Amino acid sequence: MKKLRLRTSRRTFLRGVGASIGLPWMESIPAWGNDTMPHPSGEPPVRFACVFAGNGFASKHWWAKETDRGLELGPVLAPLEPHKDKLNFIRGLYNPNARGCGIHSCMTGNLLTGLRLASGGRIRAGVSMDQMLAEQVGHATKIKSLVLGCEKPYAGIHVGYSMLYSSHISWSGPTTPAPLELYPAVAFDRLFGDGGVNHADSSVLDAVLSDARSLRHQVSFSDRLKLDEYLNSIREVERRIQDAGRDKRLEGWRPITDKPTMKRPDDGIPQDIDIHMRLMSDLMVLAFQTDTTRVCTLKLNNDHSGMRFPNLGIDHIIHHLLSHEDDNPDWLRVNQYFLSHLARILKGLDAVQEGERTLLDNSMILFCSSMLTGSHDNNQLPVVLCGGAGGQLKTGRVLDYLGNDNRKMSSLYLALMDKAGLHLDQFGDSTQRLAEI
Amino acid sequence: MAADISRSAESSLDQLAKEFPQQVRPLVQKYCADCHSAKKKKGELDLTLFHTADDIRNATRVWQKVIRQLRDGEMPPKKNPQPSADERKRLINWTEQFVLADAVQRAGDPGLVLMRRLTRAEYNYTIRDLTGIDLRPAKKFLEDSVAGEGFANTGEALFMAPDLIPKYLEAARQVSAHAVLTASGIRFSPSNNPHDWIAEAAQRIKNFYARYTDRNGRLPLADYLDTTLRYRDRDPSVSLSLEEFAEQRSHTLGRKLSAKYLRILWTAFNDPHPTGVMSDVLRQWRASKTGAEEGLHVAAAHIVVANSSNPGAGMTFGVPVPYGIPDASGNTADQGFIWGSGSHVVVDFGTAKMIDRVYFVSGYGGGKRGAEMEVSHAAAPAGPYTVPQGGTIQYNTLIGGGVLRSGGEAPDSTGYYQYRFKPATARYWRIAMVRVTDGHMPRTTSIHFGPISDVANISGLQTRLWKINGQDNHLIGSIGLFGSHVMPLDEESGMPRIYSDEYASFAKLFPVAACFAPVIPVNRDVTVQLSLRQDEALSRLILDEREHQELDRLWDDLQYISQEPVEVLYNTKQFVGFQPADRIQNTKRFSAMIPSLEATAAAFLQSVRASEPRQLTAVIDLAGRAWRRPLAETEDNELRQLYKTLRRKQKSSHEDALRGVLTRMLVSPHFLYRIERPAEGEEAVILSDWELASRLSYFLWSSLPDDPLRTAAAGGGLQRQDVLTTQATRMLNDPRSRALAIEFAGQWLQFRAFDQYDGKSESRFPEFTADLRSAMGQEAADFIMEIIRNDRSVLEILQADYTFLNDELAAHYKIPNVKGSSFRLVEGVSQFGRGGILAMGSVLTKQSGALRTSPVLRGTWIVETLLGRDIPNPPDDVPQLASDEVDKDRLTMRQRLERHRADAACATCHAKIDPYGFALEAYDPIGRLRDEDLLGNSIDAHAEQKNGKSFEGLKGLQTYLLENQDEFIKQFCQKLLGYALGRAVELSDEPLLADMQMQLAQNGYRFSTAVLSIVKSRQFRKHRSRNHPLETSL
Repeated sequence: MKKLRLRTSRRTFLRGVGASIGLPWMESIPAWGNDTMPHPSGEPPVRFACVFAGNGFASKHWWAKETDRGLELGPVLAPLEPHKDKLNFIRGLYNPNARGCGIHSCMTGNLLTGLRLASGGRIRAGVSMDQMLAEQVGHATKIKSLVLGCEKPYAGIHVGYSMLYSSHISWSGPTTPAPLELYPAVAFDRLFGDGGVNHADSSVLDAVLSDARSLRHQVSFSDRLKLDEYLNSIREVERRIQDAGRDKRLEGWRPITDKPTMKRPDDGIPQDIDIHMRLMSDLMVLAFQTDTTRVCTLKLNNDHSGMRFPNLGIDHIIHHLLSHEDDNPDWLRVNQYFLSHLARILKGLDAVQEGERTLLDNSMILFCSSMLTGSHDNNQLPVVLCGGAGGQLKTGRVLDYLGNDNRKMSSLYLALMDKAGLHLDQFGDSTQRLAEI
Repeated sequence: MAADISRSAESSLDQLAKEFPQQVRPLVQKYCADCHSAKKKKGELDLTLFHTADDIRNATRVWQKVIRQLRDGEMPPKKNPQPSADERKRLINWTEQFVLADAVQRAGDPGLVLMRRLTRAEYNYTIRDLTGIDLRPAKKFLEDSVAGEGFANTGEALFMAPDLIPKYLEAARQVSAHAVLTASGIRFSPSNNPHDWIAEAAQRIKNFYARYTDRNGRLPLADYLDTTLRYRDRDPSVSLSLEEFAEQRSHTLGRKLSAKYLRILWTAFNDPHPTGVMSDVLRQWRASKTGAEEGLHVAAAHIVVANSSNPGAGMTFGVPVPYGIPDASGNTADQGFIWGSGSHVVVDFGTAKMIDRVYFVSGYGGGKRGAEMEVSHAAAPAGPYTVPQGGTIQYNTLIGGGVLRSGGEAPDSTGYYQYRFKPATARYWRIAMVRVTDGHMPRTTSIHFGPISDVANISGLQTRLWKINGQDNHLIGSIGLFGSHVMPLDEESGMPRIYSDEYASFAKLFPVAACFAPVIPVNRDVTVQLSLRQDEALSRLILDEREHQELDRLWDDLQYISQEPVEVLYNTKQFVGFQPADRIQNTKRFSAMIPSLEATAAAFLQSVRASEPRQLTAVIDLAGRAWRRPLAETEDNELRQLYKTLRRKQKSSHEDALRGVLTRMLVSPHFLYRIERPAEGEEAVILSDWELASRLSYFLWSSLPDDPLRTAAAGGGLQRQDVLTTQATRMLNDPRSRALAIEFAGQWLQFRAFDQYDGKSESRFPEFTADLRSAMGQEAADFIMEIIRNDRSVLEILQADYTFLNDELAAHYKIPNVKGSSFRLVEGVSQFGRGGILAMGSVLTKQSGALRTSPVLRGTWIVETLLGRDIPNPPDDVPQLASDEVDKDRLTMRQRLERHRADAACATCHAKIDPYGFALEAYDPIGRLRDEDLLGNSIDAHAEQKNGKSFEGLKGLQTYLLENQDEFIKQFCQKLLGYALGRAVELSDEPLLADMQMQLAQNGYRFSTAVLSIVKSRQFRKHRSRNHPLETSL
């Protein structure tokens, strides 16, 4: 009888011990709720992606309306026209803990965590929902999640908050951001190669793991947490080596192919921003298509972004400063440019047939920013939710939460995680999921 | 003393704490709690949380802000009920005293210094210093973010995640691929290719030779001979040994002269009984004068036959290449020798009574030729050199010939001179070419004496080169040039007759070449050997014992790396295989060599195996450096065990196993993290010497400790103030302190990595090229480096009359007379509006928009970055400003901003920011000085402050800042401390900061003063104990 190596054993153990172990990513989870194993079934799994664009959008042009002929999209969203039946335009949601603290960094780092950020040069954000999800569903895929970016992080402290928060929205632990992968070739290798580690490295990894273990007893308490980041990283890599080549999916659905259909990107970071964004978008689609991962976060740029767009003929002003010119037609053009990349992703996903539905139907793609417009107003955030989450999401709607009691982003996240099979009682600053999602 | 302060602080803390409930809290309740309550939490602040004074001790930062707000009159807001003057004063005073007492009590608390991973930059610097090669393997690492006081070396900003591990593994593998195994251990190379390692090892030998010889292996005889003359003619009242004199001359000449060789020469020149050629030499030496136009180096041309492949170049120095042997570049001279201006031959006529002609038969070579020859003779080897007696010089050409001295034409490739004379009784004749008149005298094949009838056929002549023939009208003698003296030929063999007493002593002293300088022979033929060692003369004449051993080591190294004995064996076997069947002699000859080659190869391989343990030990020693502390025995054993495991279980070769150990060493947390293991105890415990050494080197160099620092740590005295001072001072003076300029000042002042800044429109600013960006970044780094290296006042950051420029940047700044692309210090720049950080292109450019200047950005930078003042956040609905200077209303930047400041809500903040930015309006978005903006409005650099005071332009701004230098100095101290400790500065650091400022004021604000204060402080030398109460809460 084949010995089924259940992940529950580890999780049960952890559930029993709770937060006292000191594993960084456990700390902010007070309760597990009814977690479930991905059921072996013939159904394709639900994929989740967050696509982020910084500095908001042109205020007058970010809208959508429900009509009898389906959604009518405002100018910013015009590139999504071919897919408008498969999306939801959501207004009025916000992140209460991102308000009243200043601008930019403190509004962004916690976009997916819902908790208050530590200020004054300290780093703390809480676990983000994509990483929470990745921990849950990631065991069945080759890699747990993909965190991609098209712009380098900034070094600096802006109005009292580290600018780390402007470039990192995925957090695998309350004080541990998930590193941003900027190199398309490296991401490709991680998805379809050995990601730079293989069996030959085992002796080395075993040795350094025992270095870390014996160090744990000799350092102070707070250092132990830092050391645990290292320990868990090594352990995770060792697990990947062990799992390499092994199909961890249980009986049931399989993707049509697990081979890449694009050639390996060139080494290095593409100089042309258009190429960079396209490559990352294609990698996301490919990753989902081959079921190499089910969770992905793609940041097209940072909050407070310094990107310029020579390819659009807009090179005289950086993204951030342009966002402060709400009426400038160039700002609308840049917005549409970003949306065109989202459209590319949706098109790619919709072209993959998975049984009766397409990969887009089986996904939930959350497109958002940390402010509605360039004037740092985050009393409501721009959110477009694309895809059908495997039939669990009704699409083609405009949902307006402005004025509701419960209009927290964390509530949205609870609902989204439900769709992927992770049912939590609480996430971020919310205990009540949005019913309409 | 510290304990007393602490005790008195404690008592005043108690005292003040008692006052809180009755005297202070009610005021807070009355005037503050409405807005700053649990429910409303205006500005994130809930002041009702503070029930007792002790609560305040956990949040002193917040209360510092309270003090500021109260003092500035910002709080309570104007429209709210105000405390009386007395109440306000009471509140402020109490809080200040309490906060201070708390700080004093905690003074010296090392604070929470979180374990820090190496930053990307630190990783690169560390590898550079560990391997000696600037490999920069951290290219693919993510850029670090910052925390604490705004530096990347703060523990909180440095995280680890599974996806980073492959990058560290790859970097470690990359470094270990650059490790080269040597006979004695390991070394690192810029290349990871074994062919390059062989070339490097050969290059090291070449570099060694180049200390003393030129690229053909020849000694600078002119310098040596000249030195002997100078020594001979030195001021006799000065007592100097020849060795001391040699050193002085070396210094003057800029090249090292070997004292050993000079001693040998000196002894030879003072020999009372010289023989053979040496007597000739000595005579010349005695007659020569120093400093004269024709110094000895000219005379030397007469002693040693000068030889030049380009005789037209004048009195160059060289040695003729004997017949048939390739010279150093591998060219085979066309038979015979090269005869150039200044060459001479001394001919021994032996018993010949009459000479008819001397023929100089030229070999191949083009161009016209003509020469003035001088013939003189001597009765005996030591004789006068006199003017010739009689005879004519005739030049007959053959097949074209060249230009005659006395007429004749036709350039061609061959020709010969004839000189007809009657010998005197002199047996020795000296024939010299004094001067080349046209073109050059090409190579000659031989010198013949006596009539030669058959000159029609040069090649026929050449076959008779070494032969003697006939009687009348025949060749009396023929000579070949060997070394620098003409040898008569042996009648039978035709080979030069070397009389040991006549020639050998000379040859020993003046070898053709001291060594085969190219090391690796390159010629057109197949070679079996990889390298050729011919440096006996160098060792014998030039090198002392230590140098000789060094040279031997270098050769061992080359042998080892190239595996020469093994290769030679292999090549020889191949060579044998390639011999055609009819060359059986060659086959036999080479085959006969094989057994001994096999033996050599076997011995070599055995020594290679014997060196394996040495190399493993070398790798483990490297671990001690890389981990910044001595290894425990268990760790040493574990590394050796890993090596064994890799060899046995993974069947790795010795080399691969070593690389595996290297990789493991560089992925270990002991390498990647700066680990501090505090003991258990009360508040704070001292760091170990190794940990302290590491803190010191990462503070000042962003890299690992060097040998002197390691020695100090091993000696156990590093915690001592005098030792710390010595080390820190030494390290500040070291070029590696450039890391401090780049990492500390670059991050604080935000010019770090400026060459990667890309925030300007290329179309609007085409002049803003990559080279200019790079130059701007370098200006700032070099400037700070100057302050560090020469221990200048840090106030020069604000104002200085110098900066660092190359031609490109100087042109950008319109500063004249700066030529060349290298950077250098340039004085007198303030008249051009430069000097100090405020006028630097990097700062001015970064704090501007893509198209326009930004007084707000610049003002904020000055106020926040330089002065450390707090600027409140802008409100959510900040109004917009056009992105371009080219505004349709044709307003200036100032006018547009002033429009906004008409709004009182904006004005409260902007009055604190904008004036400073306005003062810099004369500098455009890429830092150029201008009189007008892009619309032609004239620049107004007037700055008016809230309190009515005003100033103008850069100079006014600098004056203002210097008047408020205390704020700047405090900010500098705070930032430097935060950088050194890798954490945010706390209130408990206030006493140290105050002390730093005082020390600076008393020591001319010199940079090292601040560094030494920090390095000697408790915060730097100690760590919170392992069981410190505050450690358990983060």
